[in-house]
Amino acid sequence: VSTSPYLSVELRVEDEPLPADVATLNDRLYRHNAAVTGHDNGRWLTIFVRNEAHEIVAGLHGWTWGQTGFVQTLWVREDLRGQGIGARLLVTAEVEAARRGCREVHLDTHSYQVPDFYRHRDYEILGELPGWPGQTTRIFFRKILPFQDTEAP
Amino acid sequence: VTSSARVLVVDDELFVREMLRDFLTTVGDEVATAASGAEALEILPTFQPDVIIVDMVMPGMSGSAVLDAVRRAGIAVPVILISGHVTTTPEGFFAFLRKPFDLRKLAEVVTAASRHGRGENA
Repeated sequence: VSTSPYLSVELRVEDEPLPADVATLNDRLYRHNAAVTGHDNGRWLTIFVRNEAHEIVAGLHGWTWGQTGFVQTLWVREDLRGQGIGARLLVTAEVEAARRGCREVHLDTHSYQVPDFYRHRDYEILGELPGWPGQTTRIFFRKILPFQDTEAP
Repeated sequence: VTSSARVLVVDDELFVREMLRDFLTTVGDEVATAASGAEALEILPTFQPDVIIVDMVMPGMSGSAVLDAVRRAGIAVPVILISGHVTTTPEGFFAFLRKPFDLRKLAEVVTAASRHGRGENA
């Protein structure tokens, strides 16, 4: 715990924050962003794939805001890869984003993951961040959706 | 916008097929999809669309090749081209929409094409 000599607040560094506390930060920032930009249509976009035991075996998590969708997480359990589940998840997210009036989808991945998966689906590289982690590269992608619903809610 | 047409969507990209099926169904159309020109030609006799929407650049048959095959089969159905690679409407297509486009515009074009195919005034 450290106390600033100038502010009467306490700064606490945590490496295992409560999800609810992190959500508070995200919510406060979102409120600020919405107020400044006038875009208050932010929604989570999450898709789960579950097996018979109701275990999550694949999924996608992201959000839409303004006219943009963002994919934060796309994961398929190792033994289920190569069956098109990842592609199906991405397409479902793109369709939902377009339905919400988005014009484009952003995401980032790493060179050791499968960047070609996105390149083959019309994602263009916006930029690269080499050396993170180690000898690998973080890659930022964008896809311009081929159409939009301009009357989306 | 409601057109209530039978629409065949031909595009190799799953996103396009899914999105157009989703949207056109919402506005009242009956939609079938094909991932290639060859698949479209198989579906054609049974689905008997009022309108065909086709991408230009696809593996195998291009949009123009699909149009030619449809006409050779003696079918006069209006064909709408959607493409991000073409700048003007190639001969023979009812209309051309350049990607990215507004889905509401597509619905209007589908309605006009459907009426044209039935011999009605747009």
